Amino acid sequence: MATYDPYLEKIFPKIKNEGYDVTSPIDPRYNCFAWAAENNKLWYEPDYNYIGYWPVNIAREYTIDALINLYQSLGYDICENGELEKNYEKIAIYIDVNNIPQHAARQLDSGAWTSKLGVDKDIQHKTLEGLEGSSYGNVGVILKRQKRKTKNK
Amino acid sequence: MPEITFGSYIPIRNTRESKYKSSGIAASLAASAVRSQWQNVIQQDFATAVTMQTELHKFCNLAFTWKEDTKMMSSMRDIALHPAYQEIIGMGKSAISYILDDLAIELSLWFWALRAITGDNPVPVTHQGDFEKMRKDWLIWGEENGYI
Repeated sequence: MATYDPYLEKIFPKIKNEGYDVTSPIDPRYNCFAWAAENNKLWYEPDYNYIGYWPVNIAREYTIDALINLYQSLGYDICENGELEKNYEKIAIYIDVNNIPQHAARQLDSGAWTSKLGVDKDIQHKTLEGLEGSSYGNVGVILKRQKRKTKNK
Repeated sequence: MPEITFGSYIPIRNTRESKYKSSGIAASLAASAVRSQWQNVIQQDFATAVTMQTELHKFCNLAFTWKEDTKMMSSMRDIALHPAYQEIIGMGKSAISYILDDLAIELSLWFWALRAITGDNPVPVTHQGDFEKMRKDWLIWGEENGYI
């Protein structure tokens, strides 16, 4: 699989130096918020047109609180940092200057992170900083939960 | 959509003209009337063809720009607010067939535009967020409403 994507490196200027691998073909069926929740079949979004999937018991709004509630409903809680912790898995939420969520990444067993980039590809990136910048903003919240005994990869 | 070329109309007109040129005055008058009618038909079809070509080219350019510019965006709202996407919505009902043709070829986030243009929603609640199922819902809607 190709690990060099000039368009991706143009949009995320830090990613080349931080290190990344492209890990899937293009797939518009799911977005980063779904992928962080280990779902690659649905597009998670609280849009007012009710096009995206969003749990009915969580506020359908584009806020960091609503997204945190979404992941809390899956067993995650806010934590301090993205360091690899034994028996825990983590999700990082990127926010823009208005605190609107722009992206989410999920930590892998290796300590690297996996991200779905829009309607495009999945990548693995060694650091969270690799995707920070004008497109996704900066990491604003990190959550963690205990690993399940059986886990889908 | 079948490709409509301007040249495909011209040979038909020339054939009709040459058929009547070899006859007498009466035939010439008849030929003139027929030619006039043919020209009306040709001009109308030609104008329609030109309009369709222009709209198709406009749609293709806008769709290409939109897809390229938004492919890394995580939010459908941001994707739908792209100026090219909004311009496609602004094309109104003339864009529906092009959108559905594109959707039949590849899965893209046309659902927002289809909702906005048609004012309709064939997607059941249980299909929300499942773009493969939503795609089928809209293609069936397109068939049922004469757009495909």
